[in-house]
Amino acid sequence: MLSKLRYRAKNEVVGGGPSGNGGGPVEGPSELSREQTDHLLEQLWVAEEDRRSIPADPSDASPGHSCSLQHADDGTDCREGCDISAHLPRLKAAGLVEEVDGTIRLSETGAARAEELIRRHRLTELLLTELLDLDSAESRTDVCRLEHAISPTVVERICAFLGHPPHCPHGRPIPRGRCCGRITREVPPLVAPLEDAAVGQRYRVVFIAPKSHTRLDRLAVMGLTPGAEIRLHQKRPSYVIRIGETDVAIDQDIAREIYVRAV
Amino acid sequence: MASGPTGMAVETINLTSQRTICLVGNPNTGKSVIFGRLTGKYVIVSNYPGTTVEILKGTATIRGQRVTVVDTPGTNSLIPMSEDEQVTRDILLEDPPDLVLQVGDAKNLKRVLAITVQLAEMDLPCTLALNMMDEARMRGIHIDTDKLSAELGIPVVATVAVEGTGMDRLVQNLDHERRPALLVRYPEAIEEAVTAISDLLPQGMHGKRGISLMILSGDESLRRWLVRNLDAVRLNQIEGIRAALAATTALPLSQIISRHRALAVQRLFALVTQKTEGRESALATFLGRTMMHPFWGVPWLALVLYVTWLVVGVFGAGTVVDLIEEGLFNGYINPAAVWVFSFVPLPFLRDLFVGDYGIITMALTYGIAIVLPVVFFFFVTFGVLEDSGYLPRLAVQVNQIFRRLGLNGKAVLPMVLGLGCDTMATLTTRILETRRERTIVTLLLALGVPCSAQLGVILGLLTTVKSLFIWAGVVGLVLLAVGYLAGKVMPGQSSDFILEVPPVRLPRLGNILYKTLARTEWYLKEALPLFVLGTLVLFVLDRLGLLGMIEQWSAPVVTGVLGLPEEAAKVFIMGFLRRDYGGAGLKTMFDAGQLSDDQVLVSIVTLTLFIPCVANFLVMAKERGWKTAFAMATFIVPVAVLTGGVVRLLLRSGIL
Repeated sequence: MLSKLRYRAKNEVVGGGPSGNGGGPVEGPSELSREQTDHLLEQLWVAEEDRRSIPADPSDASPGHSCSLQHADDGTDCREGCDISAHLPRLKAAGLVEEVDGTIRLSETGAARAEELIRRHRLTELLLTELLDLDSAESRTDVCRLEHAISPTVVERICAFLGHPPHCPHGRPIPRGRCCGRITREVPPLVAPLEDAAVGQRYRVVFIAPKSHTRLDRLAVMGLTPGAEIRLHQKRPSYVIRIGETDVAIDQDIAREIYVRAV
Repeated sequence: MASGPTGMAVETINLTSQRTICLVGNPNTGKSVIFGRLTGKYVIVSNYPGTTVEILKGTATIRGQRVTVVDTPGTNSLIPMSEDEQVTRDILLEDPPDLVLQVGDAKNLKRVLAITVQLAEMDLPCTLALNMMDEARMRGIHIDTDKLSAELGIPVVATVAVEGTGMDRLVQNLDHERRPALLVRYPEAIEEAVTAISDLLPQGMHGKRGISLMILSGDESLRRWLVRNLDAVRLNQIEGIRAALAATTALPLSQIISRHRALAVQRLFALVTQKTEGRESALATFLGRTMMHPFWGVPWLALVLYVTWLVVGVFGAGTVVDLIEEGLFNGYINPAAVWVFSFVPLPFLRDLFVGDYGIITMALTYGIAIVLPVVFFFFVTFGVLEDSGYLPRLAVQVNQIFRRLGLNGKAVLPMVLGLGCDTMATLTTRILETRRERTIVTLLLALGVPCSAQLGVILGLLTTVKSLFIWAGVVGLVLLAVGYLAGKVMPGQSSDFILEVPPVRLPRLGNILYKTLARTEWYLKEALPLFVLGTLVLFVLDRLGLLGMIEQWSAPVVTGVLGLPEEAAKVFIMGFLRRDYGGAGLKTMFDAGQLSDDQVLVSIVTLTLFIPCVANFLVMAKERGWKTAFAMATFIVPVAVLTGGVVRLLLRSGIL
């Protein structure tokens, strides 16, 4: 499975990489490649996620505005700079963005495409960091290239393989795909809820998808955060796990929200 | 140790105001033991997270100076998640001590440092005691305390408080000049917001950075305090800053903040600790595992119940009560008192002390001869269960059942303590996280958890196995049914079951003895006066002829619904003055041949479910408010009587 995935991914990068931009359909004038368009759409998606507005008039754009909160490495952009407004006419012509009250917004078509791209980007990112142990800085370039290349089938398989994760390694939400609603276990997942883990095994917490932030805080003070190594002692009548030197008992519905991989 | 006098150590001693040292730390890390060592004052120490629900104050002499020492409930974060945790945070906020003595479990250094980071942000002088260093070493965790001290900029001392190891060094190193170095630098936008909020906080307020970060983390418990300390304009400005910052991030601010803290802690942790091959006591591990095993946990529970029954029921309520009641009171004290009072010319005084409702013949006989031995031996057993680490494991076992009652496993501590004393248990509900849970547990305690004194008498009266099972079954069913309904009816969410399970430890005899004595002293001080008061009320009612009237009024209920003799009404009145007292009253009636076996069963079921004793009722009102307490009482009485009536019908029709 894995080798197939790699092989395919590699192939597509070679075939549809930055140099060969004649492959896919190109929106707008020819100087904006498909990849560039993709990256612009992703930037817009992230901006909307952060509830940041991008002014249509380039003179209003202060470089790096509102970006200061995130770490330098938040893995959200594939390209530096916020020069969307420069390409606005082309994106508008392609029906991907619209201008509302002097700010640029994704159109319905644009949003759908951006959502799919972001999903691919963040899934790929999680795959590389979790499976290949690359840190996100190392994997960044590859992620930015792979995201344009992988097919919907492969995306679904990756998603299942990672246990339909809700967050990327930076804690940003991964848009849900059609596969996430279905309960399928065709691919043995690499990352699975603690609920499905085996007693006596050691695991590493990959992410926690809690119903409430309070729950996340409560788990955090016990040392249960992403990256923590744990050992599952028992599942019944309650889950008991060891984190460091602390034994903690939790409910099953909390165990369902803690995603782990075996170490 | 990179501490010692810092040049500033010799300073002017302010004789007028005594310095305060505040003990702060994660739950179950030995704060109370260190408090006891420093002050020589005994506090209840146990192996159950969250035993200290109230602030304790004592005085210690540190290097020739008298200081006030304050013990606080354990907390994992200065952003509180339950009432007892809020107590700790509020002390640091409103009455900042001269020194925080942070007590941490050495084997869980990361969780210790998580608090140190927040104390640093509160700008409080700190000294860190890394306690239970022996357990850490045994598990192969080696902490370079000198390095940690240098990194943090505060004294760090390794201790094993239960043995007294390191205590001298700790006292020598208490240093109220040194504040922990700031460990965490947040992203620029957060730092800017912290500065902006700090500028809006009142002049001269302590720990502005910490408070600003709490506000940014969205700490709801802080709201009331802010409203009290800030005008509406500033409050709005602060909220504006928070909202503006929150709007620019995809993640909640609290998560960004805690993530940065965790990273800083992780870095420091890696710097000062080394892990080698450790070992844990194989026996302790085995016992700990089996106690919460889905299958082996059941025989454990059976064993615990059996031993408790042997100690409390057979030995305490049987042997010791017989010895004291029959031997001491009925053999010597009461005849002697009657003899002494026969010289008193006033019949009124004679009756007051040695009559049917006499202070000596009734109040002291019941309170000391019958109830005290039972309570004492229950506290011994409870102490062993607490210190061994069994109770949290029991919580793991019963969590699923408690879930159905709108509670979770954590409620097991107040419920089990209720078997000793419901009044004490009602106070302990503070360890529960939501109001809903505290209310449900308070109701269940008042309704159907018999206290040890009552249990002692009940076990003595229910002579057949069948009646014991019927009683336990009926009371259990009512508890489950009411709990289930309360869980459905009460608004609000039940909290998450996230409970630390401490290691199994061999209880220390000294600790158990002290604890039992402290609790027994509490019983004698709080409960015995109520016995006397209750007897006085009965005496007066009897004198005025009111007792007869009440018996008459309640006769239709007592005889009609419950099928009991009229005098049984007296038992229920006594039962309110003290629950166990009612049980003892039944015993007298039974011994006098006034009750049949079935009637005993009906009255015991009713009495178990009946209104709690006066002391319990007062504590209910104090903790939950008068309205709730009265509402509970008006609910409980009909439930008790109706259940009794149903049991009577079932017995009569031969179904039971």
